[in-house]
Amino acid sequence: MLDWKANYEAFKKKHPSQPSESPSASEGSSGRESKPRQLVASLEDNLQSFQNQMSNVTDLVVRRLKIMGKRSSALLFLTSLTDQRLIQEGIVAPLQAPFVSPEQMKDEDLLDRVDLFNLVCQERVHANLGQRSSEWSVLMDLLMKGQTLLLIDGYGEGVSFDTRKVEKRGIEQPQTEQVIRGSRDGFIEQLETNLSLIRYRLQTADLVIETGELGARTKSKTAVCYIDGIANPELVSEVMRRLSIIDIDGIIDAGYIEQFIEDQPISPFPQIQNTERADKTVASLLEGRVAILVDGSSFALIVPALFDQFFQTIDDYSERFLIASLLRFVRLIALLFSVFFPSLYVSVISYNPELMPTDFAVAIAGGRAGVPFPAMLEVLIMEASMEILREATIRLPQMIGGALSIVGVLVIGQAAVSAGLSSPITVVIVALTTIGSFATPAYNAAIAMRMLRFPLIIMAGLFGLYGVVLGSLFIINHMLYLDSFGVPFLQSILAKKRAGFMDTLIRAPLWWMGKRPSYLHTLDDTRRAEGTFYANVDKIYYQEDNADAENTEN
Amino acid sequence: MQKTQKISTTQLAIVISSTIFGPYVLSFPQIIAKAADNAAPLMTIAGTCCAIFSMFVFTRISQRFSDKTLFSYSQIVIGRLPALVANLLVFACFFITSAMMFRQFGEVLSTVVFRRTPIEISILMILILVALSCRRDTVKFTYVHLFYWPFVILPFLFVIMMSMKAVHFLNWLPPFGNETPHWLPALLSPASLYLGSFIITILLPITEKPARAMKAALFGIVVSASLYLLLVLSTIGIYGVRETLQLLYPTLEMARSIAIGGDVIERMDALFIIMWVINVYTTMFSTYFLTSLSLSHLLQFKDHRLVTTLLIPFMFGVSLLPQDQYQLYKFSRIADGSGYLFLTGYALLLWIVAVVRRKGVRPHG
Repeated sequence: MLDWKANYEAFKKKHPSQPSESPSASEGSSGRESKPRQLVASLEDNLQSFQNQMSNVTDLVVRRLKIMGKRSSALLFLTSLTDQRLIQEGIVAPLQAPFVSPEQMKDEDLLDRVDLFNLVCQERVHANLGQRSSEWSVLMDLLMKGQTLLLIDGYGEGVSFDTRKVEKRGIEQPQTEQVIRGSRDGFIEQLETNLSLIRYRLQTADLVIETGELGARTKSKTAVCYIDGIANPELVSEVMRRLSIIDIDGIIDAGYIEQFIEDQPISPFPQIQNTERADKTVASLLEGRVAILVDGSSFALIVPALFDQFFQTIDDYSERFLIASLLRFVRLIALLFSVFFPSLYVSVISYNPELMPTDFAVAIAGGRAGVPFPAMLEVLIMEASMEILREATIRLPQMIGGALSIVGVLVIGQAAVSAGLSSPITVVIVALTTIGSFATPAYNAAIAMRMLRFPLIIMAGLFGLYGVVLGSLFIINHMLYLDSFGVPFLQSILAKKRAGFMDTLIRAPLWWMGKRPSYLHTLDDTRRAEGTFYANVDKIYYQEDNADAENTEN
Repeated sequence: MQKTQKISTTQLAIVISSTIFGPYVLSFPQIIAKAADNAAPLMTIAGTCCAIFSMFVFTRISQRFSDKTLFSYSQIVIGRLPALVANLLVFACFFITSAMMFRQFGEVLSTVVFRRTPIEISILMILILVALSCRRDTVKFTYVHLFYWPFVILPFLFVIMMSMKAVHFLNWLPPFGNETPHWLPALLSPASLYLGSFIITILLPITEKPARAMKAALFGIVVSASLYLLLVLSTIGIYGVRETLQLLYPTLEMARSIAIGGDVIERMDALFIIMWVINVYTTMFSTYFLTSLSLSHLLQFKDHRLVTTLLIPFMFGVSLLPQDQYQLYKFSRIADGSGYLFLTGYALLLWIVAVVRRKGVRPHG
């Protein structure tokens, strides 16, 4: 091992301080001599050029061995990304083992006659076969992904074996999307695991997973999932087209992709849904949507995403439909609370106190008696401090986070009132707003709505109810004009047929929602068997007698 | 993925009715009572019939060219230059009527809501909002109408229903009025309410089944017309003609007089004005959209977005021209009436020429 001083000197030698002379870092290593593009027959030469190119990679291991004791060869792999045990037991051991039959043993020039790679791959090595190539760049990429390369003397080719093994965390319940009734497993960072979670729920050959790489340097593996025969091919091709034009050095999270493929980048509203839940992803796929997953991110992107999707949870569908519809209604009210309540309060207090019953108006005026600010400023201060508190509780370590949020609310609310900074009713309004915004299941939609209340408060302070209406018209128009992959953002409300209404404001019984959403233009739009609807309607009137009667007849 | 989306017949009807049901709801009962005295409800119906006739003409001529807007097919029918002149007049008509509408809106706000705010501010705010929302295509234009339609119709229905208990049926008599009404203004003022129905000439190309557009147009007119009629009936029923004449905004007075939920909401008028803002917005949106579309066709722009922005200062300037409310109402009455006559005449001319010269296709149904 070199010590750091030697490291430093070597680095300085490689990167002279005059920037004008030195080529950029990526070309620095290759600039010495022309990079060979193809492998040559000599193993030593190949290894030499490998060493030259990969002198920076310290976790590269070159394991020399003789195949069956005769032909010299070398295994190359990265220790940080590979399964060492598999390499030892699945590749090295079988390769070193002598010939089984004595006849072959005697046949001296057998190794020259047959294709050694074929022999090795088909008869010897236990590990899964990767790819065979004579291109340097292909082999290097494979090596960097954690595959093991086998080079044999005398062949201008190399073959790779899949030995990738990455540390991963266990499958846990998604923190951002908790449900009462629903599965407890969420996506993790590894793409393979996530795909297996999807496939495990969707065991059909129609599930298509197209994979590709994104990011010039990170080469993140990206998967596009859809169900063949349901998803509209035009939608799938549009998704792929938009993915194909992404040109960036690295994809750190699915959010990077989201920003490149969304329709309208300058909008507070998310136009692509993200989820950590495998069951939600599968449900969307079954509706005819397309899911995009990327290695290294525990979120799947679902397109197209409409506004109402951000207000639905997966347990809406597993609970009683009446209760679920009611809950959706509650969420809608919570949403309206969180957006409009403070601005309506400000405008009523400052401009139209006559809208309130007289007694109540007097009570509010009494509460506001000592407050030095106009209503707009008072509400703005309180809302801003609430936002600070919310933002702080995310960053805080979990041990004190819970304590602070309660203490913070008490301190800020109570102290502000007694210090004369705000009136008690303002505290109530702010509390309702904040709680209301947390009733929205999707974090990104909720925060968009919550932030929009600030311009509305200012409009209310300046122009009263008129300002609030103009502001809301502006916001609603913006939402009406939004598209998500060609589907209008509020399509489910504007839909020509009532079908859109079944799964937005209410959650109709499953046997009622027989069609997939029409705006997705799915190839197969029917979800349930013909007659399910009538059978279930009949059940309402005839209870179970019929079924029993049929059973006894049989 | 970008498909050209089409709107259904119902959606067309909704757009038409929300366009027609406009800012005049506040003052219309007073205007018609002035022109027709006690015959106001009957004259409203008569005016609606006139409007239905012009609607019929608009729809028939557009159905002959169901894939083009009026601005394109008028050139085919009557030639390039005459069409240019006529379309310039169409532009002028909608430009002036919408400018007057902005001004009236500002007047209402400064009389009822902001007594100390300069009228320029309230006009400019809605003007910018309308201009900004006009920057999209026709399909998105219909979405806006679709979304706001319940907010346009329901508050008025609610106010009418709540105030019905105060109606004295005796106030409606005699139904034919005490004296002969002034026919022309009495017919024109209700008929010109439906100026916005001209919107069908630009909506037909994006309608799914143009052959069924007539039904939609009729439905749209009937919905709004019955609301207008109900408004006239209830205001005259509550206040009587003589008192209605004294009120600047009879509908607002009606809203002011009701209280709901045992005085939980004591004054409805502030809320009502707010709902009326949405109502005004949809109508202005339509006329502004028509104005900018016609101008961009005149200037042969591919895109009407630049025009919407350019129109803002002119619209604002013209809306400030009338000196006072009296002049404003007089002027806008003339502009609306002549606009209505011109548009109907123009469409009728186009239709006749198209039939004679056998241009376009005969609609089925």
